Amino acid sequence: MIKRIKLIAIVMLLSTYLWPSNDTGASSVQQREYRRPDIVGDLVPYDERFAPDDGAAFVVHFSGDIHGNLEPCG
Amino acid sequence: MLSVDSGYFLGDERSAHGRLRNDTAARNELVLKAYDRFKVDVANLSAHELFFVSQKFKKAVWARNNSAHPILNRLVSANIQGQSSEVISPQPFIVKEVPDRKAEGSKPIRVAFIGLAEQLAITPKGFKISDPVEAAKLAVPEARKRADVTVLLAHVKTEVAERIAREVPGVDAIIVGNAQPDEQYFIVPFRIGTTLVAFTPFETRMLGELRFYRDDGSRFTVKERFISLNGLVPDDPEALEDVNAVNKAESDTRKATEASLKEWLGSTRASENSQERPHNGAVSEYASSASCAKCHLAQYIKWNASDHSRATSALVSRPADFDASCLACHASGHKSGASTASQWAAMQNVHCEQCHGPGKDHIANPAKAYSKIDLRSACMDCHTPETSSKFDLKAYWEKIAH
Repeated sequence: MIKRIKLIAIVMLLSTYLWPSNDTGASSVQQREYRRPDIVGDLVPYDERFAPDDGAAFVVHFSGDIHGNLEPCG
Repeated sequence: MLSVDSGYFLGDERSAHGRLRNDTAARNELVLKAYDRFKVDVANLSAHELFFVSQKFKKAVWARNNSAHPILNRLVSANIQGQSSEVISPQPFIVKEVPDRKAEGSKPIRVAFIGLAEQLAITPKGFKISDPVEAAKLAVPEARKRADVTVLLAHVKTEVAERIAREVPGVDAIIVGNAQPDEQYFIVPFRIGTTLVAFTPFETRMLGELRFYRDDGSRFTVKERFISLNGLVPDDPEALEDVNAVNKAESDTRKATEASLKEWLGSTRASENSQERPHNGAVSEYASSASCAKCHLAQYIKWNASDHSRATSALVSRPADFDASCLACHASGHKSGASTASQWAAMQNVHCEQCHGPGKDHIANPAKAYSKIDLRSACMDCHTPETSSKFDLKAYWEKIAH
């Protein structure tokens, strides 16, 4: 639980203060462009977390790095 | 909707000598079944999976294995290749078709998923992992010919993903597995030009989502979302069944492994001081170092002070790693293929007879010539690069010269 709170705090901090939107940079080498990540947090009701119809043509869900462990993490 | 995995979804816990542990293998079998049951559309084959999956990619067993585990047909890697004609190489990419939710009746959208793995120091025998950036340069143009959207599943470090985004045109998104030196809970996604580089959250504690929107023409733009998977997400009863089955398989296998070691230990001599315990029947031609000591006391004393006299203790300290094949080098008189634990090996530890051969006849008739051995082969049967990477024949022999 502590880890989860820490995670949310870090993500919110990063997304709010450190990563300005549309930072395209000016050098000839393409810079990393950061945008505020869309994070559906712990307090959002389950029914509202998935598949909002916002005009997307299709959606890809991705997972990984479970190291052979199917245990739920909540 | 499509569901994909960026890699390292199987366990790769290995023994001290690099063999995949039995309990990990048992768990992985059921994880593969779960990936079929929940229809993961495409999964990236990372170097970690390869320790388990490499056995299933052998041509001789491929047909049987991919029918038991159809997910094997949905693994991709553009930079893992089989190195012999006896193994199957994974396909570099898979193209999936999805209906366009915003244009009913139109042609389905073709999405290519290309797999890439990081290069590890140790790769399972029979396979080679080539440079992921160079592999992407070859695979992406081929995938683009067959697809409207190209997504890379890459279990690589951030800087490698960034290089791909800079150097390989035509990539819409790179989903990066957590191959960072310090695993981080969340890595903020970024874009290089039109390529999105998004990272799988630590152990999938959040589900990643890419949402593709059609521009005015045939082009797509992509947005990323991350969905928390905390306790508010209800448990799926079928998924819980899989979780319980996986945990049980792992636990049962570990117990069986440890019980077989215990059984073998119980059927053999624990030390030179417990000669009241008989040799197990199958290999009774072994006499033990204590018998040798009656005439070769100096050599016996040297042996008794060496690590050879304690070679079985390494097995006792790591019981989950145990396999009967360990006894070929951590015991004496190992009989490969023996069906019961009591027949596996005559004695605990590495005795004189492990190198010199069974000594009962010599003891019965000492005048009869006894084994002269070839030092190099006697040592290097067990001290291989895999099991004894620091082995130096001259230096090691000096420790036990007799």
